[in-house]
Amino acid sequence: MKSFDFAWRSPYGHIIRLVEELALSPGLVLDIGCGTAPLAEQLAERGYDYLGLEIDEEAIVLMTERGIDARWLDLRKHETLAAEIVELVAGRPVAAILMLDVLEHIPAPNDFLAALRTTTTQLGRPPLLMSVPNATHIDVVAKLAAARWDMRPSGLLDQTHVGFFGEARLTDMLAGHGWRQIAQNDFSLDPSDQHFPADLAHIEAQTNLGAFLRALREAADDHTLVNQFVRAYVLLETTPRTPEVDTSPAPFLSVAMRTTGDREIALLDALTCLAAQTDPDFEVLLAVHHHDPVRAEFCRQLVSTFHPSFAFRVRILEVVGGGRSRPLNVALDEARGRYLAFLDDDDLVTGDWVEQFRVGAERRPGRVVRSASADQSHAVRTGPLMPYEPTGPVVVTRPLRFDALTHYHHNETPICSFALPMETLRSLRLRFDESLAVVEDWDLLMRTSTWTGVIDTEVVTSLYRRWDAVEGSLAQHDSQVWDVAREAVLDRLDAGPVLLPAGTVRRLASNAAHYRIEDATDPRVAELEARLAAFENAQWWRLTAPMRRVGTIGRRVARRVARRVARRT
Amino acid sequence: MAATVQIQTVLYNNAIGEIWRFMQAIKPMVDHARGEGLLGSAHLVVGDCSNAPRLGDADLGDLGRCAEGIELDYRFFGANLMFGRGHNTLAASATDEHLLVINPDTHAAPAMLSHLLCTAADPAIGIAEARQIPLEHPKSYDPWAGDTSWASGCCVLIRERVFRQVGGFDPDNFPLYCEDVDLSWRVRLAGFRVVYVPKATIFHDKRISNGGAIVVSDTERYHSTFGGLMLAHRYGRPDIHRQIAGWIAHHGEEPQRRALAEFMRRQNEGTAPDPLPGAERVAEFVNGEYALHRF
Repeated sequence: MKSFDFAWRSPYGHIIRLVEELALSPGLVLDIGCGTAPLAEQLAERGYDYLGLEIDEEAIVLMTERGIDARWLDLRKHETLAAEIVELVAGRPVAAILMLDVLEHIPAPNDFLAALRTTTTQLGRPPLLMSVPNATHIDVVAKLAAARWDMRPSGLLDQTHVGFFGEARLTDMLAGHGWRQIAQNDFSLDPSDQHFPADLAHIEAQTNLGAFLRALREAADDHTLVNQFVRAYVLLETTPRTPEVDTSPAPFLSVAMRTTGDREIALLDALTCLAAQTDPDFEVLLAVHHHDPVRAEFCRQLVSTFHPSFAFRVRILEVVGGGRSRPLNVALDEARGRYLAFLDDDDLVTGDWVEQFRVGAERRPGRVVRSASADQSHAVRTGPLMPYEPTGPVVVTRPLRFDALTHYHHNETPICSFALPMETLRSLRLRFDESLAVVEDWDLLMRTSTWTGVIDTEVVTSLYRRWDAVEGSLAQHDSQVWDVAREAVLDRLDAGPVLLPAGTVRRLASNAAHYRIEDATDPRVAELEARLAAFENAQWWRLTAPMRRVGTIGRRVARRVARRVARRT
Repeated sequence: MAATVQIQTVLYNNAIGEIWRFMQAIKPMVDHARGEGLLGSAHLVVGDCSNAPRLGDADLGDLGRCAEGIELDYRFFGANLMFGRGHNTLAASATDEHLLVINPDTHAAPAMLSHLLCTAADPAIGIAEARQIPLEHPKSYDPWAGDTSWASGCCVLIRERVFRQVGGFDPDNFPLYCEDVDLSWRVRLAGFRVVYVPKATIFHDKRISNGGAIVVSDTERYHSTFGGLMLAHRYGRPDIHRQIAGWIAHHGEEPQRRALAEFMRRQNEGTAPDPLPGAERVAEFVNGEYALHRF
């Protein structure tokens, strides 16, 4: 028998906070699988009656000696669970049901939850307050990468656990039985009881590997350090219905196309290119970014003039507000395809644009697929026949093959020339950064490709229109905006370790002398570094902890200045 | 009054998927033009130069349903008539006001035919040409009226009586390439205008080489060279002809050398045509092209 005492900095304390937050109605708190009832006194102090249900007879004796109403109950007997509990409650109003660290001990949790649903319904649907250990805590996850699964007498991997939960599994399972979450007060622990052995690089956040694994884990959900999920739920009245899901086969590709609906001919050109693809296994998410619904209606009408075999594959998404990344994120959320590609309404593609993406995805599943792209300058034209026209030949100026190192310096992959694997975007919660005024495509490409790598088709399949005059992002934003956005992208990439593709070390090695010389010999860089160090060591600085945010900004500014000095020399 | 159009295309061993892609654009294009009140009856005539029929009964049934409301006429030629003779054969039985000559490796935008018909309502216009994407042809045109030196045979709307008046394409002298330049110049010689209609969009399945150029096959290289030699000869520019021949002799690749040899053979046998009187009024030879190019 394990005995755990109450503490505020524990799941028990977090449960009591939830009880207070929810302002439960007076009555009986039913504690299912109560152990030695660590919360009984806390609840009594708050005016609640208490009934503990436990299978361990020794624990029941101890609780009874403390004057706690504790009864024996076997939670594995699902068929009789509701009747037994209702009988024990004996008609008293139930303020809440507690179930602390119980679910992970139950061999058939779905059967148990079905029985608990019946019980809860018969008791008038009181709130359910639970704690469940997080088997996806960073310490557990990181040690799995070291092929370690260390069961212990207690803790995250208690050797009596038969079920293991992450946030998604817990939420899905409870939702499946009709419980809707109403509050949470998760208990975090860093390090956890699984933080061993000492000096294992995987679990130490300050090692490269540890930082890397932590970044990877943090990308998955917001519960990296949660030791126990502490949640409150209410049981919905109606039997949960499985949401209607589109059961039609997902297409290979989703094409996110952003438009304002203003460049009618350009949009028509782009749609015609898509309608003419040799591989029709794609959907189009036409995100109309305009406050006026007339523009969306225009787009809807335009699409409807195409053959139904194409028009049916185009969905109009009306997007209001936000910057230029907003429509892309809206489309990303709606995408059903295995891969996601992008086509702005002023770019063009060849007939094998989709086909080549598929070739790449089949050759190296999971990687970013990159095709080559050509450029053609365009300008506004005078005369009634056409609002714009090409002003130069089609040229291929960017390399056919993706180079990660070069791409950390500048982008050589226009948004119309790559496709991203949706499973990776979803699982790592990768999205466009809507705070960026420009280069949002470069940012997402780099943040995705660092995890996935890139497969090149080495075939030119897109034509990027460069606008000579007023239109186009290059002309709309001055170079300062581009500089600021670029620095923001690099800062973000530099915030943690990055993965580089195989074969990079030799290239880095061949350039190492150059990097060292640039950093060490430029007196302006050295001076800036020295001033920054003095700034950080100043006594007033160390005493003004609340102002440290300013220091972060100061460091960034100093680095930017240093980098600019280095670039210009 | 709404116009009538015979839409005609010539197949040569095209993949069935490509034919489907072509067909899927036909009905929306016709529906759009009818919806605008520009088009009455429309006939689709498909001539097949392939080694064996590309379309069986089942295919024709499916394609007929795809182009519902448009009369579909499929003719297997049993021989490779090539582009010009194939289209002449299809046009011979046409009773419509216009011929829409269109390549099967295309996909027309829904409003394409409407734009061409609007422009062609002017009786002075003999040929109206669509704008190809993703690779737009660089030849220049009048930004206000659309007049241009010649129209690409990829997709043109030709007034049927004009086509008949000038004798259609000249497949003997231009079997596969430059037949559209030759036709355009003869139409202009006959006093009609040739205009470019940039809002009439058509996707033409051209691929881009890794160097940025359009991918060109040896067959295309042969026929474009032969056509260039023939144009210079027929339109009274022996100086241009000598330049091309001289360049091929020194730098030409194998298909281009074959083209020169074929032209020389015809000239020696006396089967090359005589130069056209008045050709200098319409023929444009600019930097090796048949029009001033915008870029």
